[in-house]
Amino acid sequence: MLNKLKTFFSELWRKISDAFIRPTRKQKDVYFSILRTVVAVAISLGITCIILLFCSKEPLKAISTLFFGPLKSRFWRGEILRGAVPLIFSGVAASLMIKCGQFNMIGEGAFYVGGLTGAVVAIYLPASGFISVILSCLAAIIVASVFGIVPAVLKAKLNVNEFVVSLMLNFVMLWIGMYFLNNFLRDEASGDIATQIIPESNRFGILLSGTYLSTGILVAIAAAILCAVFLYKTKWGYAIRMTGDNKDFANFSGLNACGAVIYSQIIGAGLGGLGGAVEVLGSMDARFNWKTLPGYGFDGFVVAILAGNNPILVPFAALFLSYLRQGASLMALQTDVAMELIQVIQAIIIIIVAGQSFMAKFKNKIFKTKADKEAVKQ
Amino acid sequence: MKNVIIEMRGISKVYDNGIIANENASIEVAEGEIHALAGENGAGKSTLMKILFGLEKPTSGEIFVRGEKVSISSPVDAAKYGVGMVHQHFMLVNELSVLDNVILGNEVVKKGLLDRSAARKKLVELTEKYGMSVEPNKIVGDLSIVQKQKVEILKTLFRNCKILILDEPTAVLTPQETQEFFKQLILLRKNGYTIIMITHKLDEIKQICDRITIMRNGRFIAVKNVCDISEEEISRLMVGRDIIREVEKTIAKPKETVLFVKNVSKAYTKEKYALRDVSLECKSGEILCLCGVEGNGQRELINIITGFDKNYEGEVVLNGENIKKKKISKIRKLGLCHIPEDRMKLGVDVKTSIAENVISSNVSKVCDGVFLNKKKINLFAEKCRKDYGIKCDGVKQNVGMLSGGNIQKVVIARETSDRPLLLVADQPTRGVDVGAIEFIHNKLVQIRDSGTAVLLVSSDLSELFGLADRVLVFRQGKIVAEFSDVKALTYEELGLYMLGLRTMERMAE
Repeated sequence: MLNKLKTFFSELWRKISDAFIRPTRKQKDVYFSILRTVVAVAISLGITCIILLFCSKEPLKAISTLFFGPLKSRFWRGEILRGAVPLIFSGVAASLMIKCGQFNMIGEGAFYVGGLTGAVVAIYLPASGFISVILSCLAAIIVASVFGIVPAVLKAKLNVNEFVVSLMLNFVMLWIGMYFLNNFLRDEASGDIATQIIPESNRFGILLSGTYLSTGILVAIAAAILCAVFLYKTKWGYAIRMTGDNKDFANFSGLNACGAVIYSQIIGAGLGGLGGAVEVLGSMDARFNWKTLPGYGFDGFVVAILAGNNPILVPFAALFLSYLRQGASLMALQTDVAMELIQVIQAIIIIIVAGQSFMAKFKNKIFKTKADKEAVKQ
Repeated sequence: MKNVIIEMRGISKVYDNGIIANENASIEVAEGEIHALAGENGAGKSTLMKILFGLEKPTSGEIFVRGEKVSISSPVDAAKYGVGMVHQHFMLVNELSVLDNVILGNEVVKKGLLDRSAARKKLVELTEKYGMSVEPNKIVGDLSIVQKQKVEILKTLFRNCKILILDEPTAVLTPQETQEFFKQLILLRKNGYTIIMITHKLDEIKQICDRITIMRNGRFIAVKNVCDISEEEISRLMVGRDIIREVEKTIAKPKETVLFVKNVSKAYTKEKYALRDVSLECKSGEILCLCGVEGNGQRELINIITGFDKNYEGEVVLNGENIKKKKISKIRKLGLCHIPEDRMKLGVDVKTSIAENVISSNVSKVCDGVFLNKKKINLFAEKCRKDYGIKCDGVKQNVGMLSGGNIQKVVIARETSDRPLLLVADQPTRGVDVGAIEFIHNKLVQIRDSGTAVLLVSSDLSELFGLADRVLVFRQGKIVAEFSDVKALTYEELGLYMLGLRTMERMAE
């Protein structure tokens, strides 16, 4: 037993050290994409600092609040984690759909109807506690998935652009939800347009005391892991990836490309719905009171791009983005810089990371020296 | 030797993905010669010429035109120095007329308006002078391949280019058309044009070229006068070893019929048929070759047999079942495997690993339930790598990093390792290097001997003669000839049937 463990660890150590000392081409590729993302982020943060120098009267305070503010107190660290939860859901959903070559924006609407459905089930269904939470989540997934069928089937059968359909469908979902909220679900006692209060037993509990972080984050991380397994370890995930890379090839090989296009988008919508339910059932408002689309659907693409469309990296990307956001909101509270600055940082990161040729020359250099060495050997 | 007109010295090119296409390559071309640029696929010929034409930027190296050092950063620059290029895949606008295609990018202008009549005059002069009869008003989409090629050449002549780069110009031509084309090239040479011809075909080099530059692995290997060098020697310099160009095979022993094609017709319009009442049978243990000039129905028939096209009349029966209403996955389960013509589009996913590419046609084989079994995948991929000699760093390497021949080996490994009932091999060696061609040919014969019916489509006649046990010739959507004794057949005879100068009355069945 001890020997087995020993060999296991020495094997593991060998693999790890090999990966750094003698990386294969593929590992080099991975290092390179990580480096590329880090450099892109660093550049955009650098530009942000320069902007702050010009537009703030107290730039040093603004910069330090932006970067260090959210790390200073337990409450704000909790806020970083809390803010990451919806971003994880929408990021995983976006990665899954992008992997299949589908640019579907349904995350927005899916969050909305998912949140509303989750709240309704939690309020009106005569169940309580754990079972109620599970039923809320399931109902949210189902309702959002049903909406997800629309762009998915239109794309697969009639080749209608899923981007356009989902973008418009978002508003259909919003106004259907608003109709029900306004006419049937509204709590007359509340001055706001909102549902009744969700009983505490039917909500996600607080995970860390002294913060607003709910246990919903566990669901989010589980979703990311499950999706990674689905995408990389099952034959359905394989079909999704092949279809996304080269649909003609998938079709030619006898893989169900048409099916992959459909189920990747339906699962994506379902994940959005789940995200909406988790967000509502874990929020401090304790009721559903969204009157516009929440914006998480679009953020999902930012997260997915940062994570290289890999579900397992999505939680990290989501945490990073959430950290910047909490920093920006603190900065807005405490200094003279507006919250919207965060949009600038995001935009710069996306432009640089998405730019295919960024640092291509540098990559050439790495690979060329290796190839040269081989040539000399020969 | 006459004046050196083009000299490229120490050219290196490293692509963004790290692939080295040229390494210290050089070439010297004399004025007024037809210069062959030969080498295996992936030897860097096309890249070197693209650099000369300004499509690619060299990583290092120098280019001299008429002894003057130049830097060519775009095709416009290239035209300034008199360099024009005809690509393997034509760069024409199908919707426009011949004249408009020729003047596109080089418009003759009078008072700010297009002067078509002046342009037409110049074009007609060129066509007459060089015997390239093309009607200027015709729409390019309606032209045949030969005529399109003429338009491409006219395009470069119209720009007053004196140096023409031709990238595998005869790949799409029949033997007769090739001879006609060579006459025009010789006429151009007489008029002082310099021609650089990228080619694989040794007999053509012997026939028409003055000098030859041979490249291997992105490097310059040798430059020779063609009259001083034998075909065998060229072949040896190209691959660095001797290649047996004959395919070794025994006489076929056909057994039961696995594929019936019964009265298949496909109409484009009411009058125009792609396929007209075509019937054929393919037996296990034989290599049946469909040949014909491209665009005479072979493509359509292959699309029908492989399940891509469902819009036809008649019956296709594979392994006793009509495939008309079946999806590709179902047809594959009946025993079809398919080496596609366009391997980059259909054959592989270049963005993922060799291992993931070789399992795509039969995923359930490497699955436990719905989960992929990593061990099984790696075992199978390793077996493919060894059995098919795929040159790579490992089976986790991306297919996009491989050379053309190795990519094709990945496709062939996937499609033949399951011992299919029917293997459709569509141009299996197109654009593949000599070493891989030999391997692929042997594999096809081997799989035939193991009892697979092989349906081969090839426009490479030497491949056809080497491999086929039976040949069917397509012309205008019909089968016009059948040859069971391929050994007794000659290139010329086959060409006559392909071009429609002769038709064989098919025996009534």
